[in-house]
Amino acid sequence: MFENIGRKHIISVVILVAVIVAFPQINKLWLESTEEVRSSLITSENNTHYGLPSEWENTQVICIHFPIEDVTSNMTASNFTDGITYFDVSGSEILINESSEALVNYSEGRDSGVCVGGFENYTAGFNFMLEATNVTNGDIEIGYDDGEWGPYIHTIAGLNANDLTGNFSGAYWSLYHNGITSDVGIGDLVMLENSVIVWEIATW
Amino acid sequence: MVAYHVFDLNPVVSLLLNLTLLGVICWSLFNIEKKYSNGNKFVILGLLAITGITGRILMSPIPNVQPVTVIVLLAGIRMGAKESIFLASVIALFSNLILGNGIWTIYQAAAWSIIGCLGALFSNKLDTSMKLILFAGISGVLFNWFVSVSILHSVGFDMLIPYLIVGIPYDLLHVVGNITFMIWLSNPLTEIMSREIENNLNFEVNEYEPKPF
Repeated sequence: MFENIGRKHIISVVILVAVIVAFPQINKLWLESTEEVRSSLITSENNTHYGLPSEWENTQVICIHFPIEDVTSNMTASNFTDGITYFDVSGSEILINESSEALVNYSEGRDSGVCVGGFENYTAGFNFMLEATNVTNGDIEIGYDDGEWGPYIHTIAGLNANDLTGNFSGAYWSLYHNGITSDVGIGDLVMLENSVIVWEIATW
Repeated sequence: MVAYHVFDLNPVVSLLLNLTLLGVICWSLFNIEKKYSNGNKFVILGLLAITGITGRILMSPIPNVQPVTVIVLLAGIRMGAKESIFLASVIALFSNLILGNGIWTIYQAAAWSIIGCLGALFSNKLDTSMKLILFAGISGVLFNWFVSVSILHSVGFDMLIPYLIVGIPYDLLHVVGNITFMIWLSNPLTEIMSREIENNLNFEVNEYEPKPF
């Protein structure tokens, strides 16, 4: 049956054995070198959803970034102080982004936070914010006052901007819409189908 | 009472034992075939199915290195599309009884069937051993990527590309394995698959001469 075993046969077996023996190394090298490509996060910096899970592309997302240096200990969301935690519309944690360098409106001193995304068809910003933060069962509770120009957000996830102390005159929760500072408050914000709204602590 | 069956085998040792068993099964099977089958295609199909099933099960310690892809490809080329579909489905089902049955079984059966059918379609063009080896290599990637589509039952489309990228070293194993199996199996399997029925119709028709009235 195998009467004509030639050089080709021997070489093929030698190569096969070599590949099998080296396979764990090959696989490890491959996984390391393709880590960035395989990332399920949106990597295009021009995208409004940059740094967010790719399944959230063209959906509505809210992100809250916490300042690590000033985080008060009574923050109910202290389980968000490490990396960025992503929740889907049902409130299930989908992943924690440990290397939070890829982030919408990322600025220094803010490498912890939480995002809830995958929503559709919201038009009123405030309504969206309340419902989206509500899916995590109180982990991202919102505190606000009804002011003359609509709701004024002072507390997110137990972090009250007025309680922050440091080398500044005052601090407040600042609202970004698709990468730029929103020129209207959350009460007047009209959501787009691909809106990413971000809350960050800003100081003056 | 000492449990003699409970001991940990070094994976390399257990693989060698598996390969020995596979060698014994194939050697005896193909010798028996020579003795009895006379080129009956149905017997040959059964024998190829058993070879594929045992080959896949016993080589399962090495991911993706198994003779099934080459067997169905050669069956498609030398016997025909229907024969390769039969082999693909039977081998996928029965080997998965041991390796694990699931939604992927139908994808594996389909992928191997497609490879067999492509082989049948291009049987006239695949006339040199170099072309056969090349096609065997391509089939490895084709099979893996086709079966990978089954993950869409559980995850979104976004995950497919990262999943395929992760799988590329495993595709490489399948390609190298297929090439090796094609080099080793192409001649012996072609000989068996192309064997014409010799003795079954031995009614000595030629010697019958009608007597004149």
